[in-house]
Amino acid sequence: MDLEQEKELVEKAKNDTQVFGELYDQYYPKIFGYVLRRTASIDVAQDVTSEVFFKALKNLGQFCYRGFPFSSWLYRIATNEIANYFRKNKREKFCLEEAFNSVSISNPSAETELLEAEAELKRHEDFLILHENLSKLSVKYQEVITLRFFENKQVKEIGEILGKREGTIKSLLHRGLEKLRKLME
Amino acid sequence: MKEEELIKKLENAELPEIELQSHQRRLRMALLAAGYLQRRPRVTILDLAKSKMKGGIDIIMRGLVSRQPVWKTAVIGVLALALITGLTIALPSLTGQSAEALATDIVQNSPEVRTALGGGEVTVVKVIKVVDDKGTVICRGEIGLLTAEVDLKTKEVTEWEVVPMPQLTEEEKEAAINIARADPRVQEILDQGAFIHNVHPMYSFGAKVNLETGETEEFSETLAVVVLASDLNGWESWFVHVDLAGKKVIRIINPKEFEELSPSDDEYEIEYFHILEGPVEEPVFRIGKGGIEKGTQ
Repeated sequence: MDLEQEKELVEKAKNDTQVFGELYDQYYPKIFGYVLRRTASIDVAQDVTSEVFFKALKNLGQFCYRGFPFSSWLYRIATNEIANYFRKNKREKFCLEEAFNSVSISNPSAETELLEAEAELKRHEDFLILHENLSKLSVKYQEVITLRFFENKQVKEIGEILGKREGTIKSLLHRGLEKLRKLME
Repeated sequence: MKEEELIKKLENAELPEIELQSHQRRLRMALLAAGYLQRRPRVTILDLAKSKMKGGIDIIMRGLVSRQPVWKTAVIGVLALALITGLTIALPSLTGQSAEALATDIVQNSPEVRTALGGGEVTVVKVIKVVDDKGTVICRGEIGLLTAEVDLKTKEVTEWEVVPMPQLTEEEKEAAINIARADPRVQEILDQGAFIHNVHPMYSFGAKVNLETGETEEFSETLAVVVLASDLNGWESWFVHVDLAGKKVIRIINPKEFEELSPSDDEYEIEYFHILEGPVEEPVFRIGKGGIEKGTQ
């Protein structure tokens, strides 16, 4: 779907929940994946992703195109929600042990899927080690590094998502990488 | 480690690509329900409804997709709220009277309804819905229950149907208990110390709405409800809905998800379902002899 088609869809979605459902179907995996890569927790990713889409639905009328895809707006909401989550939870230090043990039981029909998801997450040991180090950085560095390297966003789009200028993003990236490098030595 | 190496490591990291289809489905359903509420036309009476619902919607909506096992509760809540909104927005603006009150008046003052229910007092159990000046009301009288369709503009009862009081014979009650006991979920609850408190009939009716096509299919049935109770950790009860004809347990409801309730001693229950897209099969509310027990109120 190109930007024009997406723009048309978003305009329709403002008055038609079914159309919003189409946008949701398209972007749920991206946003869930982003939140998961930021938090390394299936449980948190579910809750935060839910918040993101409720806020998107609620505020869709205020959304205007500024030359960036709709997903940038969703990423912005997601980034804010992740920051809120960390603030609310006093930023408990993430550790591998938690990731390995954080299986939560939900309703029976979803339980198997959750367990499989947890197991799948555990298999990505390299990512979990990277995430553990990333989580020791300030959130502002986590945001730019994750968006740049895990989400493959360009600096310009990261600026749009985070509401910062390109120069600031580059500077944050540089400093963040430097801090991460030291941590990983 | 050099910065280039770190960048390479970050770029080449194998990232988790996990899909949670059940969560995606539940969230979609919650969003659609939320969207319908959000996009209802604004009328003055809606402010009243909004004040009642304030704070509740967000909690319920989030509950619907929470990882905690409360999503069914939230589904019910969402649908119930949708129903309340439906009731409150579609008011005839000329009357100055709430649609529910008007529908109640029409039914209670209808000679046809009174006659159909045996001639005695008619008690409105619930105004089910009001859409486009048409309302559906459930009421009871001497000889049973009745569902009435009312026209709020002409203030007339346009259609009605008497539903006999649901009853179960002792044999049917015993059969219901046996069917319930054979269900592994019930067995698990019993193994944890719960006991069978009582069995009563339940009249269940409602509509299935296909969100894609807008088609509505109405249904009604009488089920047996086997009430399980436990007082090991405070009162807790489970309502096991048994389809006697199909010889199976349809669903098990634990009201703890709604509120603490002591086991029901009602002689019968009435359920009204409003099902969206098929997969949601929980009552919007349940009515016992003492009134509405959960859901919308």
